Amino acid sequence: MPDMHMIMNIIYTLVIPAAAMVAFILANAMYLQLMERKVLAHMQGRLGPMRTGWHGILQPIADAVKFIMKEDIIPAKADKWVFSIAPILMLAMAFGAFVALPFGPPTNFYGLLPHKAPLWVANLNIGVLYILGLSSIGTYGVIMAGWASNNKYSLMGGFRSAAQMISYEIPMAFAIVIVVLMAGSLNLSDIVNAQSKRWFIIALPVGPVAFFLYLISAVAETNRVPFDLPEAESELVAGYFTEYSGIRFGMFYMAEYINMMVVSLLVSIMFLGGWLPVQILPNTAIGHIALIASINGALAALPAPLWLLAKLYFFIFFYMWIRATLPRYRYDQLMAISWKFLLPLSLGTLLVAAFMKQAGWL
Amino acid sequence: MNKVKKLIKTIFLIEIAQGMWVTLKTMLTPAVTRQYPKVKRKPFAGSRGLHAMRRDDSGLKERCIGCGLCEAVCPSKAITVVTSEGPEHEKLVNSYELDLLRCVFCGFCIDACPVSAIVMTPEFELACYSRKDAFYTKERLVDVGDRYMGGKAVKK
Repeated sequence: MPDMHMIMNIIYTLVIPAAAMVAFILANAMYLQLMERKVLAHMQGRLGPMRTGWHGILQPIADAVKFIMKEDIIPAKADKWVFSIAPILMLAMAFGAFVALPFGPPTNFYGLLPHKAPLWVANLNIGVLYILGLSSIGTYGVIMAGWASNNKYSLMGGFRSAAQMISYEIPMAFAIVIVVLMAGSLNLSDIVNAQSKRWFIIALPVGPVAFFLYLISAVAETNRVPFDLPEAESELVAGYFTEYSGIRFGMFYMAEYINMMVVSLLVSIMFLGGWLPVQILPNTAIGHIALIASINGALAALPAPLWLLAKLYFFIFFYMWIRATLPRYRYDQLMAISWKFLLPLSLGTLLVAAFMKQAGWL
Repeated sequence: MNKVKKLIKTIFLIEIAQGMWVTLKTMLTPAVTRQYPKVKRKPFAGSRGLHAMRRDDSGLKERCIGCGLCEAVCPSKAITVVTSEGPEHEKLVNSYELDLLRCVFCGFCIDACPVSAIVMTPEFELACYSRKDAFYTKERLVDVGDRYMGGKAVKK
Protein backbone atom coordinates (compact mmCIF):
# COMPACT_ATOMS: atom_id res chain seq x y z
CA MET A 1 0.00 0.00 0.00
CA PRO A 2 1.77 3.17 -1.13
CA ASP A 3 1.25 5.86 1.44
CA MET A 4 -0.74 8.98 0.69
CA HIS A 5 2.11 11.36 1.28
CA MET A 6 4.25 9.79 -1.39
CA ILE A 7 1.45 9.89 -3.97
CA MET A 8 0.78 13.56 -3.25
CA ASN A 9 4.47 14.22 -3.53
CA ILE A 10 4.60 12.56 -6.95
CA ILE A 11 1.57 14.55 -8.08
CA TYR A 12 3.06 17.82 -6.91
CA THR A 13 6.55 17.35 -8.23
CA LEU A 14 5.92 15.34 -11.39
CA VAL A 15 2.34 15.15 -12.65
CA ILE A 16 1.37 18.81 -12.31
CA PRO A 17 4.59 20.24 -13.77
CA ALA A 18 4.51 17.73 -16.62
CA ALA A 19 0.86 18.48 -17.43
CA ALA A 20 1.50 22.21 -17.30
CA MET A 21 4.53 21.77 -19.54
CA VAL A 22 2.60 19.73 -22.12
CA ALA A 23 -0.18 22.31 -22.19
CA PHE A 24 2.36 25.09 -22.59
CA ILE A 25 4.16 23.28 -25.42
CA LEU A 26 0.99 22.42 -27.33
CA ALA A 27 -0.44 25.93 -27.07
CA ASN A 28 2.88 27.34 -28.21
CA ALA A 29 3.33 24.90 -31.08
CA MET A 30 -0.07 25.94 -32.39
CA TYR A 31 0.34 29.66 -31.97
CA LEU A 32 3.95 29.85 -33.14
CA GLN A 33 2.62 28.77 -36.52
CA LEU A 34 0.32 31.78 -36.55
CA MET A 35 3.14 33.99 -35.32
CA GLU A 36 5.39 32.77 -38.11
CA ARG A 37 2.75 33.41 -40.75
CA LYS A 38 2.08 36.87 -39.36
CA VAL A 39 5.74 37.85 -39.04
CA LEU A 40 6.58 36.56 -42.52
CA ALA A 41 3.55 38.29 -44.01
CA HIS A 42 4.31 41.66 -42.48
CA MET A 43 7.95 41.42 -43.49
CA GLN A 44 6.75 40.90 -47.06
CA GLY A 45 4.27 43.78 -46.88
CA ARG A 46 1.26 41.48 -46.49
CA LEU A 47 -1.20 40.98 -43.66
CA GLY A 48 -1.29 37.20 -43.24
CA PRO A 49 -4.37 35.39 -41.89
CA MET A 50 -7.10 37.95 -41.22
CA ARG A 51 -10.44 36.20 -41.63
CA THR A 52 -10.54 33.61 -38.81
CA GLY A 53 -11.32 35.71 -35.77
CA TRP A 54 -9.66 39.00 -34.94
CA HIS A 55 -6.52 39.20 -37.10
CA GLY A 56 -6.68 35.44 -37.66
CA ILE A 57 -6.40 34.61 -33.97
CA LEU A 58 -8.40 31.39 -34.44
CA GLN A 59 -6.37 30.21 -37.43
CA PRO A 60 -4.34 27.61 -35.44
CA ILE A 61 -7.58 25.98 -34.29
CA ALA A 62 -8.85 25.82 -37.87
CA ASP A 63 -5.51 24.33 -38.94
CA ALA A 64 -5.58 21.76 -36.16
CA VAL A 65 -9.13 20.69 -37.04
CA LYS A 66 -8.14 20.38 -40.68
CA PHE A 67 -5.03 18.31 -39.87
CA ILE A 68 -7.13 15.90 -37.83
CA MET A 69 -10.01 15.65 -40.31
CA LYS A 70 -7.89 15.05 -43.42
CA GLU A 71 -7.40 11.52 -44.69
CA ASP A 72 -4.32 9.81 -43.32
CA ILE A 73 -2.71 8.29 -46.40
CA ILE A 74 0.04 5.68 -46.22
CA PRO A 75 1.53 5.07 -49.68
CA ALA A 76 1.08 1.50 -50.92
CA LYS A 77 4.81 0.91 -51.33
CA ALA A 78 5.83 2.60 -48.11
CA ASP A 79 7.30 0.71 -45.19
CA LYS A 80 4.20 1.02 -43.03
CA TRP A 81 5.76 0.56 -39.59
CA VAL A 82 8.67 2.90 -40.09
CA PHE A 83 6.40 5.36 -41.87
CA SER A 84 4.07 5.47 -38.87
CA ILE A 85 6.75 5.57 -36.21
CA ALA A 86 8.82 8.41 -37.74
CA PRO A 87 6.54 11.36 -36.89
CA ILE A 88 5.81 9.96 -33.43
CA LEU A 89 9.52 9.59 -32.76
CA MET A 90 10.24 13.12 -33.84
CA LEU A 91 7.44 14.60 -31.78
CA ALA A 92 8.33 12.50 -28.73
CA MET A 93 11.96 13.62 -28.88
CA ALA A 94 10.88 17.24 -29.21
CA PHE A 95 8.60 16.90 -26.18
CA GLY A 96 11.22 14.98 -24.26
CA ALA A 97 13.69 17.83 -24.32
CA PHE A 98 11.33 19.91 -22.16
CA VAL A 99 11.78 17.51 -19.28
CA ALA A 100 15.18 19.01 -18.55
CA LEU A 101 14.45 22.64 -19.36
CA PRO A 102 13.98 24.81 -16.26
CA PHE A 103 11.70 27.85 -16.50
CA GLY A 104 12.77 29.57 -13.31
CA PRO A 105 13.82 29.07 -9.69
CA PRO A 106 11.38 27.24 -7.40
CA THR A 107 8.54 29.54 -6.47
CA ASN A 108 5.41 29.49 -4.30
CA PHE A 109 3.59 31.78 -6.76
CA TYR A 110 3.45 34.79 -4.40
CA GLY A 111 2.13 32.76 -1.50
CA LEU A 112 -0.48 30.88 -3.53
CA LEU A 113 1.06 27.51 -2.66
CA PRO A 114 2.00 26.32 0.83
CA HIS A 115 5.49 25.29 -0.30
CA LYS A 116 7.84 26.12 -3.12
CA ALA A 117 7.08 24.32 -6.38
CA PRO A 118 9.71 23.70 -9.05
CA LEU A 119 9.31 25.26 -12.49
CA TRP A 120 10.81 22.23 -14.17
CA VAL A 121 9.77 18.63 -14.59
CA ALA A 122 13.14 17.15 -13.63
CA ASN A 123 16.25 18.95 -12.51
CA LEU A 124 18.63 16.68 -14.41
CA ASN A 125 22.28 17.07 -13.56
CA ILE A 126 23.15 16.07 -17.14
CA GLY A 127 20.49 18.31 -18.69
CA VAL A 128 22.60 19.62 -21.55
CA LEU A 129 23.82 16.17 -22.53
CA TYR A 130 20.29 14.78 -22.36
CA ILE A 131 18.90 17.45 -24.70
CA LEU A 132 21.77 17.03 -27.15
CA GLY A 133 21.13 13.29 -27.17
CA LEU A 134 17.41 13.71 -27.79
CA SER A 135 17.99 16.10 -30.66
CA SER A 136 20.27 13.49 -32.24
CA ILE A 137 17.61 10.82 -31.91
CA GLY A 138 15.16 13.28 -33.50
CA THR A 139 17.33 13.12 -36.60
CA TYR A 140 16.37 9.46 -36.92
CA GLY A 141 12.76 10.54 -37.31
CA VAL A 142 13.74 12.55 -40.36
CA ILE A 143 15.80 9.76 -41.88
CA MET A 144 13.12 7.16 -41.15
CA ALA A 145 10.44 9.31 -42.72
CA GLY A 146 12.59 9.90 -45.78
CA TRP A 147 13.45 6.25 -46.21
CA ALA A 148 10.06 4.73 -45.44
CA SER A 149 8.14 6.97 -47.84
CA ASN A 150 9.68 5.17 -50.84
CA ASN A 151 9.85 8.45 -52.71
CA LYS A 152 13.00 9.91 -54.18
CA TYR A 153 12.30 13.41 -52.90
CA SER A 154 11.69 12.14 -49.40
CA LEU A 155 14.82 10.03 -49.53
CA MET A 156 16.96 12.94 -50.69
CA GLY A 157 15.48 15.13 -48.00
CA GLY A 158 16.27 12.51 -45.40
CA PHE A 159 19.86 12.13 -46.61
CA ARG A 160 20.40 15.85 -46.66
CA SER A 161 18.98 16.16 -43.19
CA ALA A 162 21.24 13.41 -41.87
CA ALA A 163 24.36 14.96 -43.39
CA GLN A 164 23.40 18.42 -42.22
CA MET A 165 22.57 17.44 -38.67
CA ILE A 166 25.78 15.47 -38.28
CA SER A 167 27.81 18.40 -39.64
CA TYR A 168 26.21 21.04 -37.47
CA GLU A 169 25.98 19.03 -34.30
CA ILE A 170 29.76 19.22 -33.91
CA PRO A 171 30.18 23.01 -33.74
CA MET A 172 26.99 23.13 -31.71
CA ALA A 173 28.34 20.63 -29.22
CA PHE A 174 31.63 22.54 -28.97
CA ALA A 175 29.74 25.78 -28.33
CA ILE A 176 27.86 24.01 -25.56
CA VAL A 177 31.09 22.55 -24.16
CA ILE A 178 32.47 26.10 -23.91
CA VAL A 179 29.41 27.11 -21.89
CA VAL A 180 29.76 24.03 -19.71
CA LEU A 181 33.41 24.93 -19.14
CA MET A 182 32.47 28.44 -18.08
CA ALA A 183 29.64 27.27 -15.82
CA GLY A 184 31.36 24.15 -14.53
CA SER A 185 28.13 22.14 -14.70
CA LEU A 186 25.88 20.26 -17.10
CA ASN A 187 22.80 21.19 -15.10
CA LEU A 188 20.81 23.93 -16.82
CA SER A 189 19.76 25.57 -13.55
CA ASP A 190 23.38 25.73 -12.46
CA ILE A 191 24.33 27.22 -15.82
CA VAL A 192 21.80 30.01 -15.27
CA ASN A 193 22.97 30.62 -11.72
CA ALA A 194 26.58 30.79 -12.92
CA GLN A 195 25.56 33.80 -15.03
CA SER A 196 24.28 35.87 -12.13
CA LYS A 197 27.38 38.10 -12.28
CA ARG A 198 27.53 38.36 -16.06
CA TRP A 199 25.81 36.59 -18.91
CA PHE A 200 27.93 34.24 -20.97
CA ILE A 201 27.21 36.20 -24.14
CA ILE A 202 29.37 39.06 -22.81
CA ALA A 203 32.00 36.80 -21.22
CA LEU A 204 34.85 38.01 -23.42
CA PRO A 205 36.59 36.72 -25.39
CA VAL A 206 34.96 33.31 -25.89
CA GLY A 207 31.35 34.06 -24.94
CA PRO A 208 30.25 35.99 -28.04
CA VAL A 209 31.99 33.51 -30.34
CA ALA A 210 30.30 30.54 -28.69
CA PHE A 211 26.97 32.38 -28.91
CA PHE A 212 27.47 33.01 -32.61
CA LEU A 213 28.45 29.37 -33.21
CA TYR A 214 25.44 28.09 -31.33
CA LEU A 215 23.02 30.46 -33.02
CA ILE A 216 24.07 29.37 -36.53
CA SER A 217 24.22 25.67 -35.66
CA ALA A 218 20.80 25.87 -34.02
CA VAL A 219 19.23 27.22 -37.21
CA ALA A 220 20.78 24.34 -39.15
CA GLU A 221 19.77 21.85 -36.47
CA THR A 222 16.11 22.84 -36.75
CA ASN A 223 16.21 22.71 -40.57
CA ARG A 224 15.16 26.29 -40.99
CA VAL A 225 16.00 28.88 -43.63
CA PRO A 226 18.75 29.52 -44.70
CA PHE A 227 19.69 25.88 -43.93
CA ASP A 228 16.36 24.29 -44.89
CA LEU A 229 17.80 21.97 -47.54
CA PRO A 230 16.05 18.85 -46.17
CA GLU A 231 12.68 20.40 -46.96
CA ALA A 232 13.67 22.76 -49.76
CA GLU A 233 10.28 23.15 -51.39
CA SER A 234 11.66 24.51 -54.64
CA GLU A 235 13.84 21.43 -55.11
CA LEU A 236 12.36 18.54 -53.14
CA VAL A 237 8.62 19.28 -52.98
CA ALA A 238 8.59 19.12 -49.18
CA GLY A 239 11.63 16.94 -48.49
CA TYR A 240 11.28 14.12 -46.02
CA PHE A 241 7.56 14.63 -45.32
CA THR A 242 6.43 14.83 -48.95
CA GLU A 243 4.28 11.70 -48.61
CA TYR A 244 2.75 12.59 -45.27
CA SER A 245 -0.75 13.94 -44.89
CA GLY A 246 -3.32 14.61 -42.22
CA ILE A 247 -2.34 14.33 -38.59
CA ARG A 248 1.07 12.77 -39.33
CA PHE A 249 1.99 15.83 -41.37
CA GLY A 250 0.72 17.95 -38.49
CA MET A 251 3.02 16.06 -36.13
CA PHE A 252 6.06 16.89 -38.24
CA TYR A 253 4.93 20.47 -38.33
CA MET A 254 4.50 20.62 -34.58
CA ALA A 255 7.84 18.93 -34.01
CA GLU A 256 9.52 21.63 -36.09
CA TYR A 257 8.09 24.40 -33.93
CA ILE A 258 8.76 22.57 -30.68
CA ASN A 259 12.36 22.04 -31.74
CA MET A 260 12.56 25.75 -32.45
CA MET A 261 11.37 26.41 -28.92
CA VAL A 262 13.94 24.00 -27.51
CA VAL A 263 16.89 25.64 -29.26
CA SER A 264 15.59 29.11 -28.41
CA LEU A 265 15.21 28.16 -24.76
CA LEU A 266 18.67 26.60 -24.76
CA VAL A 267 20.30 29.69 -26.23
CA SER A 268 18.44 31.88 -23.71
CA ILE A 269 19.49 29.68 -20.82
CA MET A 270 23.09 29.18 -21.87
CA PHE A 271 24.01 32.63 -23.13
CA LEU A 272 21.40 35.19 -22.07
CA GLY A 273 21.12 34.32 -18.41
CA GLY A 274 17.91 32.30 -18.65
CA TRP A 275 15.42 33.75 -16.18
CA LEU A 276 17.82 36.39 -14.83
CA PRO A 277 16.45 39.89 -15.40
CA VAL A 278 17.94 42.42 -17.80
CA GLN A 279 20.00 44.97 -15.88
CA ILE A 280 21.52 48.24 -17.07
CA LEU A 281 25.25 48.15 -16.30
CA PRO A 282 24.73 46.69 -12.81
CA ASN A 283 28.29 46.59 -11.46
CA THR A 284 29.59 49.94 -12.73
CA ALA A 285 29.38 53.56 -11.62
CA ILE A 286 26.42 54.15 -13.94
CA GLY A 287 24.54 51.30 -12.27
CA HIS A 288 24.71 53.15 -8.92
CA ILE A 289 22.96 56.30 -10.16
CA ALA A 290 19.65 56.44 -8.28
CA LEU A 291 17.40 56.48 -11.35
CA ILE A 292 19.12 53.59 -13.12
CA ALA A 293 19.36 51.65 -9.88
CA SER A 294 15.60 51.98 -9.38
CA ILE A 295 14.95 50.90 -12.98
CA ASN A 296 17.17 47.87 -12.37
CA GLY A 297 15.23 47.14 -9.19
CA ALA A 298 11.91 47.30 -11.04
CA LEU A 299 13.24 45.01 -13.79
CA ALA A 300 14.48 42.52 -11.21
CA ALA A 301 11.07 42.51 -9.49
CA LEU A 302 9.36 41.01 -12.55
CA PRO A 303 8.66 37.26 -12.29
CA ALA A 304 11.65 35.18 -13.38
CA PRO A 305 9.81 32.94 -15.91
CA LEU A 306 8.61 36.07 -17.69
CA TRP A 307 12.19 37.00 -18.48
CA LEU A 308 12.89 33.55 -19.86
CA LEU A 309 9.76 33.67 -22.01
CA ALA A 310 10.69 37.14 -23.28
CA LYS A 311 14.09 35.83 -24.36
CA LEU A 312 12.48 32.69 -25.84
CA TYR A 313 10.08 34.68 -27.99
CA PHE A 314 12.80 37.09 -29.00
CA PHE A 315 14.85 34.23 -30.41
CA ILE A 316 11.85 32.64 -32.09
CA PHE A 317 11.14 36.00 -33.68
CA PHE A 318 14.79 36.17 -34.67
CA TYR A 319 14.57 32.84 -36.48
CA MET A 320 11.45 33.99 -38.32
CA TRP A 321 13.19 37.24 -39.13
CA ILE A 322 16.09 35.31 -40.66
CA ARG A 323 13.64 33.21 -42.64
CA ALA A 324 12.05 36.32 -44.10
CA THR A 325 15.43 37.77 -45.03
CA LEU A 326 17.87 35.16 -46.27
CA PRO A 327 17.81 32.86 -49.30
CA ARG A 328 18.76 29.20 -49.02
CA TYR A 329 22.41 28.14 -49.12
CA ARG A 330 23.64 25.79 -51.80
CA TYR A 331 24.44 22.30 -50.55
CA ASP A 332 28.22 22.57 -50.89
CA GLN A 333 28.16 26.00 -49.23
CA LEU A 334 26.24 24.48 -46.35
CA MET A 335 28.90 21.81 -45.87
CA ALA A 336 31.73 24.30 -46.34
CA ILE A 337 30.35 26.63 -43.66
CA SER A 338 30.22 23.82 -41.17
CA TRP A 339 33.49 21.96 -41.83
CA LYS A 340 35.73 24.76 -43.08
CA PHE A 341 34.55 27.64 -40.94
CA LEU A 342 32.47 26.73 -37.89
CA LEU A 343 34.42 23.62 -36.88
CA PRO A 344 37.93 25.24 -36.83
CA LEU A 345 36.47 28.31 -35.13
CA SER A 346 34.76 26.25 -32.47
CA LEU A 347 37.90 24.17 -31.83
CA GLY A 348 40.03 27.29 -31.50
CA THR A 349 37.53 28.94 -29.17
CA LEU A 350 37.32 25.81 -27.06
CA LEU A 351 41.11 25.79 -26.78
CA VAL A 352 41.15 29.43 -25.65
CA ALA A 353 38.32 28.80 -23.21
CA ALA A 354 40.05 25.77 -21.72
CA PHE A 355 43.31 27.68 -21.36
CA MET A 356 41.59 30.62 -19.71
CA LYS A 357 39.65 28.36 -17.38
CA GLN A 358 42.85 26.68 -16.32
CA ALA A 359 44.52 30.06 -15.77
CA GLY A 360 41.52 31.21 -13.76
CA TRP A 361 40.62 34.16 -16.01
CA LEU A 362 37.17 32.96 -16.90
CA MET B 1 42.15 48.24 -48.74
CA ASN B 2 39.21 46.85 -50.68
CA LYS B 3 40.17 43.35 -49.65
CA VAL B 4 40.24 44.37 -46.00
CA LYS B 5 36.85 46.04 -46.37
CA LYS B 6 35.45 42.89 -47.95
CA LEU B 7 36.93 40.74 -45.18
CA ILE B 8 35.40 42.94 -42.51
CA LYS B 9 32.08 42.81 -44.33
CA THR B 10 32.23 39.01 -44.39
CA ILE B 11 33.31 38.53 -40.79
CA PHE B 12 30.76 40.85 -39.23
CA LEU B 13 27.96 39.80 -41.63
CA ILE B 14 27.39 43.43 -42.59
CA GLU B 15 25.37 42.59 -45.66
CA ILE B 16 23.14 40.15 -43.83
CA ALA B 17 22.57 42.81 -41.17
CA GLN B 18 21.58 45.28 -43.88
CA GLY B 19 19.10 42.78 -45.28
CA MET B 20 17.67 42.13 -41.81
CA TRP B 21 17.24 45.88 -41.37
CA VAL B 22 15.24 46.06 -44.61
CA THR B 23 12.86 43.28 -43.55
CA LEU B 24 12.43 44.84 -40.10
CA LYS B 25 11.58 48.19 -41.66
CA THR B 26 9.08 46.51 -43.97
CA MET B 27 7.47 44.79 -41.02
CA LEU B 28 6.99 48.10 -39.22
CA THR B 29 5.44 49.84 -42.22
CA PRO B 30 1.74 49.14 -42.83
CA ALA B 31 0.98 46.29 -45.21
CA VAL B 32 -0.23 47.21 -48.67
CA THR B 33 -2.95 44.55 -48.67
CA ARG B 34 -6.53 45.77 -48.99
CA GLN B 35 -9.11 43.55 -47.24
CA TYR B 36 -11.03 43.30 -50.50
CA PRO B 37 -14.62 42.27 -49.85
CA LYS B 38 -14.68 44.47 -46.74
CA VAL B 39 -12.66 47.38 -48.05
CA LYS B 40 -13.20 48.36 -51.66
CA ARG B 41 -11.11 50.81 -53.57
CA LYS B 42 -12.88 53.63 -55.41
CA PRO B 43 -12.69 52.73 -59.11
CA PHE B 44 -10.43 54.88 -61.24
CA ALA B 45 -12.05 57.46 -63.50
CA GLY B 46 -12.70 55.91 -66.91
CA SER B 47 -12.45 52.32 -65.68
CA ARG B 48 -14.32 49.96 -67.99
CA GLY B 49 -16.91 47.78 -66.30
CA LEU B 50 -20.44 46.59 -66.91
CA HIS B 51 -22.26 48.21 -69.84
CA ALA B 52 -25.31 50.42 -69.49
CA MET B 53 -27.87 51.78 -71.94
CA ARG B 54 -28.93 55.39 -71.55
CA ARG B 55 -32.47 56.63 -72.14
CA ASP B 56 -33.31 59.11 -74.86
CA ASP B 57 -34.44 62.70 -74.23
CA SER B 58 -38.05 61.69 -73.64
CA GLY B 59 -36.89 59.26 -70.94
CA LEU B 60 -39.38 56.66 -72.18
CA LYS B 61 -37.17 54.44 -74.27
CA GLU B 62 -33.55 53.62 -74.87
CA ARG B 63 -31.36 56.07 -76.75
CA CYS B 64 -30.03 53.48 -79.20
CA ILE B 65 -30.84 54.29 -82.82
CA GLY B 66 -30.04 50.84 -84.11
CA CYS B 67 -27.14 51.84 -86.35
CA GLY B 68 -25.31 48.61 -85.57
CA LEU B 69 -21.86 50.22 -85.36
CA CYS B 70 -21.18 48.63 -81.98
CA GLU B 71 -22.07 45.24 -83.38
CA ALA B 72 -19.73 45.83 -86.28
CA VAL B 73 -16.81 47.06 -84.21
CA CYS B 74 -17.06 44.48 -81.43
CA PRO B 75 -13.91 42.29 -81.72
CA SER B 76 -15.44 39.37 -79.83
CA LYS B 77 -18.90 39.55 -81.42
CA ALA B 78 -20.59 40.01 -78.08
CA ILE B 79 -23.27 42.44 -79.28
CA THR B 80 -26.28 41.58 -81.44
CA VAL B 81 -28.60 44.34 -82.64
CA VAL B 82 -31.87 43.49 -84.43
CA THR B 83 -33.77 46.35 -86.06
CA SER B 84 -36.89 46.70 -88.14
CA GLU B 85 -38.88 49.41 -89.86
CA GLY B 86 -41.72 51.06 -87.95
CA PRO B 87 -45.11 52.30 -89.28
CA GLU B 88 -43.72 55.78 -89.96
CA HIS B 89 -40.59 54.48 -91.66
CA GLU B 90 -38.51 55.02 -88.49
CA LYS B 91 -35.93 52.52 -87.35
CA LEU B 92 -37.00 50.36 -84.43
CA VAL B 93 -34.54 48.54 -82.20
CA ASN B 94 -36.23 45.20 -81.66
CA SER B 95 -33.50 43.79 -79.51
CA TYR B 96 -30.08 44.77 -78.26
CA GLU B 97 -28.25 41.84 -76.71
CA LEU B 98 -24.90 41.79 -74.98
CA ASP B 99 -23.22 38.53 -74.02
CA LEU B 100 -20.88 39.38 -71.14
CA LEU B 101 -19.30 35.92 -71.37
CA ARG B 102 -17.88 36.96 -74.74
CA CYS B 103 -17.20 40.60 -73.91
CA VAL B 104 -13.56 41.57 -73.38
CA PHE B 105 -14.37 45.05 -72.02
CA CYS B 106 -12.32 46.79 -74.70
CA GLY B 107 -14.77 49.70 -74.85
CA PHE B 108 -14.84 49.88 -78.67
CA CYS B 109 -18.65 49.87 -78.66
CA ILE B 110 -18.63 52.96 -76.47
CA ASP B 111 -16.22 54.70 -78.86
CA ALA B 112 -18.26 53.66 -81.89
CA CYS B 113 -21.69 54.74 -80.66
CA PRO B 114 -22.64 57.97 -82.50
CA VAL B 115 -25.24 59.00 -79.89
CA SER B 116 -23.47 57.76 -76.73
CA ALA B 117 -26.30 55.34 -76.07
CA ILE B 118 -24.17 52.47 -74.84
CA VAL B 119 -21.81 53.45 -72.01
CA MET B 120 -19.76 51.68 -69.40
CA THR B 121 -20.10 51.79 -65.62
CA PRO B 122 -17.29 51.13 -63.14
CA GLU B 123 -19.11 48.01 -61.90
CA PHE B 124 -16.65 45.10 -62.00
CA GLU B 125 -18.11 42.44 -59.70
CA LEU B 126 -19.92 40.47 -62.37
CA ALA B 127 -19.80 36.95 -60.99
CA CYS B 128 -23.07 35.11 -61.40
CA TYR B 129 -24.47 31.62 -60.83
CA SER B 130 -25.81 30.91 -64.29
CA ARG B 131 -24.90 31.76 -67.87
CA LYS B 132 -28.29 33.42 -68.25
CA ASP B 133 -27.31 36.06 -65.70
CA ALA B 134 -24.41 37.11 -67.91
CA PHE B 135 -26.69 37.68 -70.87
CA TYR B 136 -27.84 41.30 -70.96
CA THR B 137 -30.95 42.25 -72.95
CA LYS B 138 -31.96 45.77 -73.85
CA GLU B 139 -34.19 46.05 -70.78
CA ARG B 140 -31.48 44.92 -68.40
CA LEU B 141 -29.01 47.35 -69.92
CA VAL B 142 -31.49 50.20 -69.51
CA ASP B 143 -31.96 49.11 -65.88
CA VAL B 144 -28.21 49.31 -65.32
CA GLY B 145 -28.29 52.79 -66.86
CA ASP B 146 -31.11 53.79 -64.53
CA ARG B 147 -29.19 52.50 -61.57
CA TYR B 148 -26.23 54.72 -62.43
CA MET B 149 -28.06 57.76 -63.81
CA GLY B 150 -31.25 57.78 -61.79
CA GLY B 151 -33.46 57.25 -64.86
CA LYS B 152 -32.59 60.68 -66.20
CA ALA B 153 -31.61 61.26 -69.78
CA VAL B 154 -28.25 62.89 -69.42
CA LYS B 155 -27.03 64.74 -72.47
CA LYS B 156 -23.38 64.60 -73.30
